Amino acid sequence: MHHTMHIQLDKQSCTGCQLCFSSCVFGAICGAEYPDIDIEKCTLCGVCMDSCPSDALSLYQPQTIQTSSPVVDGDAIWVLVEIHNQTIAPVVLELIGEATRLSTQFKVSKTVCAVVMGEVDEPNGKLLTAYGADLILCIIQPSMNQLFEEHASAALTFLASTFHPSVIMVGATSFGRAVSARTASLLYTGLTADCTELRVDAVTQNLLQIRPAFSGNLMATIETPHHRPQMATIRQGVMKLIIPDYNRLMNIKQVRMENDLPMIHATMLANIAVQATQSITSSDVIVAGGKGMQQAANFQYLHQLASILGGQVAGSRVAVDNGWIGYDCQVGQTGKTVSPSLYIACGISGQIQHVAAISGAQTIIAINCDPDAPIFRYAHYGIVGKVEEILPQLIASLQQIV
Amino acid sequence: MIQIVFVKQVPFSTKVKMDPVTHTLVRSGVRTQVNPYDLHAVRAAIEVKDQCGGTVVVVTMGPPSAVAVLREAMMHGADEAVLVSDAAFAGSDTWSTSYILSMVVRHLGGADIQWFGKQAIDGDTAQVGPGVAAQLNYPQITEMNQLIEVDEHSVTVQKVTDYGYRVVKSGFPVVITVNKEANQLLSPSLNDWLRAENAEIRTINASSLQLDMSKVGLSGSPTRVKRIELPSTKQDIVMLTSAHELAQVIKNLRK
Repeated sequence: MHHTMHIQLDKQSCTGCQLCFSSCVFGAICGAEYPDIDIEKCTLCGVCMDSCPSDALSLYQPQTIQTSSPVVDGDAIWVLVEIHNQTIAPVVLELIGEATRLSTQFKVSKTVCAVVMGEVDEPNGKLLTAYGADLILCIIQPSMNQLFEEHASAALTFLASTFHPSVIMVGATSFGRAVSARTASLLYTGLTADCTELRVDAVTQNLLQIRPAFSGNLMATIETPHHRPQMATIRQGVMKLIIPDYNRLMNIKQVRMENDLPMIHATMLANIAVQATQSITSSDVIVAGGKGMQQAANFQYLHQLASILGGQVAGSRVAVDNGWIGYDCQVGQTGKTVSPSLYIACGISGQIQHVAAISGAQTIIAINCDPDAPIFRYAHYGIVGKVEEILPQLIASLQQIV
Repeated sequence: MIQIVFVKQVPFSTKVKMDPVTHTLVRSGVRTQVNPYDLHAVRAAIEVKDQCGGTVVVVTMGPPSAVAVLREAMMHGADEAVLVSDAAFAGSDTWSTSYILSMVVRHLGGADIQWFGKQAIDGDTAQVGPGVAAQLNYPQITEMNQLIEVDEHSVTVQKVTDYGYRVVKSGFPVVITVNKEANQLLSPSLNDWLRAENAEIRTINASSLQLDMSKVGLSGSPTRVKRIELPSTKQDIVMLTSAHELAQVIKNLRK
């Protein structure tokens, strides 16, 4: 008998149906009739407990551990607003759109609230409202520098402890990731990074947060059952904007933060803006190359094709690691997530890290010499063949007909 | 100056194999390595030590087998290594991990700089560095891509932002997370290797950390994995046979 936490079996209830055997993706459950759990392989993910029709599997926890008491679940979904040079980060409006969709999945629909550090100007207030915000909450603290991650986290923590939102969504920008992680740590609540899908559990009303896990080989559904708020970061391009309605009534509430801000913080000495080249995330057509392109020279075909279609060229991790294209143009879990209307994958095998980042594309076309390449499982149109043969022919045909 | 570098053991390849029959992850015999970002954090600490002196301690939380990553980090110049290991920590999410590591910092008496890699390549969350900073109420600098200046009282670095770069300065203690561009790794010498292989590694378990045990492990973690599944695939692909046919399809799509 183990005295640390583990999955335990109630032999009285077990019917020997073995459904749990196949539920375990780690292969930790086997046995002749009744399940035998290999604690070396078990990750305590709990999937087997859900799979058991007779509730024979449960989590053994030592007596010293208590489960946390229920917490206040508020009636709002918050979206943290990131503003740079008076411009709202594009991901923010996408998240507000997603919040309006999520709101209606709750039994009692939630208020969609945009949270702004400091004051909001009229045009931005109208924009947030048109894209779905029911309320704009502005937090005012005269000594706050909203660029300091420590200040922004302290302000968001104060606001969340005062108003108890059910959900806080944050754009997975460099700033958003750092602020959400610090805030979740201060609030003792869960934070799921880079969610690719959000849903509401019809029974428990918990937020179901879906993200790639185990190096992107599997999709995990994660929830925060006993802590609030339920926090999630989402990358740009994953969620869809709603059609803006500029007739909606703008509703702004200012909250003064009485607490002091943390004295210690990293001081900014210089802020260097780098002129961004047009980002692949905003491109309607993307022509991407991977390992199968074989050499830098073959990327000329991608540039020609992109130019005919008015699109941009991107690459997989291998293409970037080989120096065939810059890191700004990397599509994948460690690169960018894109949702163009057309994505043409050339010589890309379709590892899940890559595929997860293009799931928002309307149409995916795959060109690959390996008929068994995983990319063909995700693409809408496919052609088997060498990219260096197909691309020149395709370019020639398109030049004639487009 | 005392510096702590937190390192994580991750799978050697992110291409984890699936068993085609049982649809389970093939985990046995999976080689592990130090999270690549973490080695740049070790290098940054060594660069600071070269200027200010002191001690660099590497810390990892994991099973007993994680000593391998501590030795690898020591090969890259760390002076001391600490393994934080306890069966009660199994299933800890990023919140619980941050909590445990912050208590490790307290247990070790604190450091001037606590270094982390920007993110781990297996989970890609980038949450534990800021999480530890929050628990300790330390300032945080995320995504350092250049160490500019350091002395006994402060450190100045350049960090990446969504719009370019920012130069920031902080006093101690501070938490800094490091990008791969921050420095170049040096190849360890035979002497480094021998020193690392023979170094004594300290182990800390839950009982020495004065933890609130209701906040660690699976049951203390705010997040739960509810379901794990293979990514959904769609079956209705249209296979084409010629580039000309493909051109027609693209033309129709772009109408």
